[in-house]
Amino acid sequence: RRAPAAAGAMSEHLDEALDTVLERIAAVARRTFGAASCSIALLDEAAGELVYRAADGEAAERVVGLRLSVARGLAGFAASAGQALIVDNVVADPRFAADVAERVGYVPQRMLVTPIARGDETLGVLSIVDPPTEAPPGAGLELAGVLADAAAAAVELAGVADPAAVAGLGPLAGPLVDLRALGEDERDTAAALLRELVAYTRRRNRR
Amino acid sequence: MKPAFSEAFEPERLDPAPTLGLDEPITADWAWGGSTGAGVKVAVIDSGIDADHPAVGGVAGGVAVEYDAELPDRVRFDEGPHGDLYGHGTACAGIIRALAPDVELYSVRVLGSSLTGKARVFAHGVDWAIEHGMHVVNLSLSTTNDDWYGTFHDLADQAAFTGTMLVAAMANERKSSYPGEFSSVFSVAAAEVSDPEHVLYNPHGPAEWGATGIDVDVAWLDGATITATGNSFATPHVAGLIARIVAKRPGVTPFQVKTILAAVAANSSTRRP
Repeated sequence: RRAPAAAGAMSEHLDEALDTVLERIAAVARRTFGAASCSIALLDEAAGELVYRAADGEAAERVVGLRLSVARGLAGFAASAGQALIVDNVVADPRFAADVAERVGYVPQRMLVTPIARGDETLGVLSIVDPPTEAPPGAGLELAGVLADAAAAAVELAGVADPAAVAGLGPLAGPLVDLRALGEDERDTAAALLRELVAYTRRRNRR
Repeated sequence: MKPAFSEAFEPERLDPAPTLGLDEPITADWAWGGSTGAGVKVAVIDSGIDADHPAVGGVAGGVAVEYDAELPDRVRFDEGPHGDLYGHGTACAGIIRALAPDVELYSVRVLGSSLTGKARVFAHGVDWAIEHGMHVVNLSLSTTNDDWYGTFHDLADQAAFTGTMLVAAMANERKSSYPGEFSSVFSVAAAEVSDPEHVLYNPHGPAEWGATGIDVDVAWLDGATITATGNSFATPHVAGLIARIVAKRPGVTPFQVKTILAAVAANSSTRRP
């Protein structure tokens, strides 16, 4: 049966697209703030962990894949409280050194952490590492919040077609995956046909 | 880097506080002179408090509130000592202790590793504080969950009419949050105020009070001290000063305290030491 394979293919595609978007957001954040690095972690609620998905700048390749408990640390606080925080001497927090700096091999001085959220539901955390004390004009908590919102939108869109939902499409999953490879006109036609079918079925069921 | 809502307190933007035109203006000395907050119960609704931190000097009691799907109200209350998961609550407690050394500090821990039902847990934490006769409640947290707007509004009303001062941080980003925005609550944002005993008054809201919250040295975990910025560090400054006012005049109402605080605000034309 094609449906499970199609579901897997669709979610894999969306996963890759999400990684790309998050990497771009991390890069823009790092450049705009003039920071040493920026990283984006997403919440794995079942595991109670923040999983670092994308990073740009210093030690980026060591950050991606890092898993931190959401029950501790600056990023954990941002996730739990849904609140941003700026800390100027991060290494004074003894747990930070152990949790992050030692594993990543980079010891930051200053950090801005901001939650990535949909409403009050935490999706992840955006961390800006070593932004200069005199931030470039416009680069403040508000901009960090906007970038976090962009990341949230990307996460939400990718999650709309999560494997369980896609598997529920049954025989539709296969053709929908095929449509992805066809042109815009074909997709518009398919959508129009589906809408007509749904409307017809509703009218018929009412009689 | 300044948090959202702090721009209202910039010198070019802040109007002088409206004055009552009293023959003998209210002074800071009248408001809290000689008061150390003795007899005042202050609850810190946050990540917990590390009672052993030198800047905190002990905690009188408290409760850890957690989401529990099995229970009817879906929250569980664990009374008894608990620590601080993140350091944030300890930071707030340290600031309050520094301003009002003799208050009784209570920790209401509403943050934890479970991120389910945050607004519900937070609301129950505020309710616990009101029910347990706290005089001042420091809320360096807020919720943006509109479904709970009504509940938090009811809690704010209840607090106002039972003499419980809710002191809440505005969000660090530009978004609506509760209960900070409600008019009866003391809503606080960080301002460029170097004197920890100075507050600024903005009658236009939603951030009504400005206090020290930028590059503040605060207590953190394991006895450490870090330097941090956020509206949540301005909030305990205001809470500490309110505790002093309440200690000096037990039974004073939240609206009376607002009048007193506005009169002694640093942007008050009648401010006297």
